[in-house]
Amino acid sequence: MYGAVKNRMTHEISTRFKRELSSFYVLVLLNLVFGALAMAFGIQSIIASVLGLTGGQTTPGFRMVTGVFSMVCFGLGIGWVLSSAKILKGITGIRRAFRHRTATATDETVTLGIVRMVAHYRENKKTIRTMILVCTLGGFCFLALGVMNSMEFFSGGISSGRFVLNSYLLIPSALLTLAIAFVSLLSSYYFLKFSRTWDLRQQETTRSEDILKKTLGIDKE
Amino acid sequence: MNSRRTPYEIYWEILVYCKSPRSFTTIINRCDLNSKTGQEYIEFLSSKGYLSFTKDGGRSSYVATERAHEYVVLFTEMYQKLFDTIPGFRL
Repeated sequence: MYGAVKNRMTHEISTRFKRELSSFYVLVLLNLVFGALAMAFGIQSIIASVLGLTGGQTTPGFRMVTGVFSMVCFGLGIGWVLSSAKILKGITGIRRAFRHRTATATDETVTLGIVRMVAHYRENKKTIRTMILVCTLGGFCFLALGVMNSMEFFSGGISSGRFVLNSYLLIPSALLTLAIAFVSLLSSYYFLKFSRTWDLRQQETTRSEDILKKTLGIDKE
Repeated sequence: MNSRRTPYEIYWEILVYCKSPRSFTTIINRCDLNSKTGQEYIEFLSSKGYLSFTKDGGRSSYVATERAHEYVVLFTEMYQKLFDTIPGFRL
């Protein structure tokens, strides 16, 4: 009877762990893709701004602001990709042990996975905090860039109250920028959620270690 | 990745792996330890009576004792509880 209950518990915990691991894996993978897109888009915007400056446009000040924003976005994109790749590397290793498993994992396999994940979080806590910051900053920078790009394809007069669409070609570019901004802010929210969950777990492991130390007399010092 | 494991997590890994007799080299390889720290952990566990040293012919090995079972069970329950009591992360 106890064995059956224990097996069901292990199965439930294993399922929960696998689900959580997959969710985090998808989030980090999505970040890697959007980080790469942010980098590419940052470069594209820098070039567009520079070409605009040399092309003798009437609004060089506006172009320069866009160029600076593009550079910031490019830098944040690099940070975004590097952080995502670092986290992804660890997650892939932990996930490998569970991915192709069809039968219920043993107590030891599940606990080993949890130990690895706890260690992974402990090691990458700072990187995850950076990700939250980079995603939030990136989100707002891309939002600003998206708004600037949108302003470029609309021209009009406040006094006349008329807006004219300059070029249909600029619409996808502005939409892509806004999409990156949206994903970036959404990622920041999910990383924060993940971080809160794992901070709680880390506090719990510290408490558990105190209990282990006291009850079993295990103290390395 | 394993650099941030606590000593308690490493003790657990060693004890679980040593359910059957294992040589020093296989323990440090499997638990991702260098020989110096590996030696320290194994000596500590042996001094507490959680690991016993056996020498069969020319081969020496370590095996977890009955006493280690108590630690392994307690540790497993505590770590599995992390996913039982704390609301999980989902997209």
